[in-house]
Amino acid sequence: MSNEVRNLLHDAASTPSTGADVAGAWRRGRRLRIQRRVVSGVALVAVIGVGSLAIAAVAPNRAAEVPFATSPTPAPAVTCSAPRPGVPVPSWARAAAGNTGPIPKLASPDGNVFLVVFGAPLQAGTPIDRQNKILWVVRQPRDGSPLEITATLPGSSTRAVHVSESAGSSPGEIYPSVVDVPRAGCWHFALAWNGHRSAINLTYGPQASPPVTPTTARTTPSTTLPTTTLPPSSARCATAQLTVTIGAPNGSAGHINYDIAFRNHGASPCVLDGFPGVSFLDASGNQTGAPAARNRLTPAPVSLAPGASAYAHLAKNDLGNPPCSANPATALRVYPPNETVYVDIPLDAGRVCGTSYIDPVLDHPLG
Amino acid sequence: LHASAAAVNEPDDVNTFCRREWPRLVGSLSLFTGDRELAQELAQETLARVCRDWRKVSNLEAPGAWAHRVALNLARSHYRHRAVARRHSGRFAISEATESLDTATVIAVRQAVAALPVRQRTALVLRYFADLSVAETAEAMRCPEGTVKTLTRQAIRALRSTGLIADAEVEEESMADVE
Repeated sequence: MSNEVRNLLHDAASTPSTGADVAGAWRRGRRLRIQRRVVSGVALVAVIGVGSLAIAAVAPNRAAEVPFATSPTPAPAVTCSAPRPGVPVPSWARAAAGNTGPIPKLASPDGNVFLVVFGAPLQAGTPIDRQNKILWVVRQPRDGSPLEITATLPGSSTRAVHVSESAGSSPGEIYPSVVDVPRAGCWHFALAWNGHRSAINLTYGPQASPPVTPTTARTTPSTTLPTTTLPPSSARCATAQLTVTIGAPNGSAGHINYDIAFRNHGASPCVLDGFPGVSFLDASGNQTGAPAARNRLTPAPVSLAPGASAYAHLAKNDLGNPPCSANPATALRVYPPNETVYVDIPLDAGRVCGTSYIDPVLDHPLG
Repeated sequence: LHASAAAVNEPDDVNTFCRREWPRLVGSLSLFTGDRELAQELAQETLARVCRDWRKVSNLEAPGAWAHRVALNLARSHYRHRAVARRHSGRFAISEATESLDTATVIAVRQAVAALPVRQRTALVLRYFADLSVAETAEAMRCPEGTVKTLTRQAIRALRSTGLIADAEVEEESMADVE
């Protein structure tokens, strides 16, 4: 037997980040069972109704077709709700969203998530004049777990958008977020937090066209910010525009994993594309050990709205893999992709052994 | 009457089965989709289907194989409905360095698996990750056993061409499959 293939696949497969939610599966299983009964019952009644008409009107032997229609797989109807100001706020969401009178809002169809859409109407791309800001209020307690948002555009090949929001905001069970999607349409949002799930469809309108910049404007005093005339997607993130931080180490045998976060603290969107440069510094500020090697991955550009973050994953070789540097690393020197200006970030990383690897920037941390 | 009592909470055997299958389903789906979050979503939906049909599933000879068939069907229909089958090329698999492989190799393996045609990928994952037998894989894929062997062989040949697998052992597997 090819145990090598087996071992390789077992090493490459993901291990779950959470346990199985059996109680949730059981509840949903029951609902599915009831749904199936109801749906097939309704379909049977409908078919019998239509069938008997047909039998009466045309041909009695058509009755043989009835059984085929009793196992339907109905396509879920895609309805796209629009947030409105007058929507009543459910009692459990009052602490978080009770005073949002004129702001458009809506509830998820299952009633477990209440949304306040500060950025309405939502727009594809990265809107220039405002943000696609949504406040998610969840009914079931978050217990410190993040809200995982996965937005997909059904029936298109547009890439999915993943956003993870940490449970750091209050009051109430809330997650503020900015969710930009690449295309206009009715986006399906799958939401998961603390073992709970919900979903909602939201309409994103077409991207507003960038403001027209008259070339004769030189003679008139400028009243608009010059940054708004730049195409928002083309500017590379400069080091000065970024806040670089390092997440808590995440140990696995062989490597210690860090997520290096690049937050755009500037006022305009920018793009990160490629590998950061990462090396280790000792207490006296000299390089210690080998700089991180680039992983075998193809980079893809990550657009950063103001306030948004991109992440690069650093896998530092474990101490068990010599040769190791004499001096322990006390800081990380990070060059954002394609930048020549670096930032040094204190990091008690111990001695530097063998080869460490750096990934290109991604729109989500690897955790 | 028993059913209504059991309906409130899941019975113990469901619980045991789901907890045992969960990591296996997530692993298989992560290899199939290249996306751990999606894998967990689909695995959770698979467990719901298991619960829905528990009376039938619990009487099956290989309930785990049934769950895997449902899981991979869900994954395929996910891609069909969203037409995002090519998402692999645009997104990286989540990288977690494991016991014996570095991150780069883990990602290389995932990309190589993700690049396989759907049926080859399905056969490979069911046979060599989920450890289903040739017969169970054939049953799950609703195809003859010979087809499973051919698909697995093609998948392994493709992985070998990426340099991730040594040659000798693959030859051995091919021979074993031919028998």
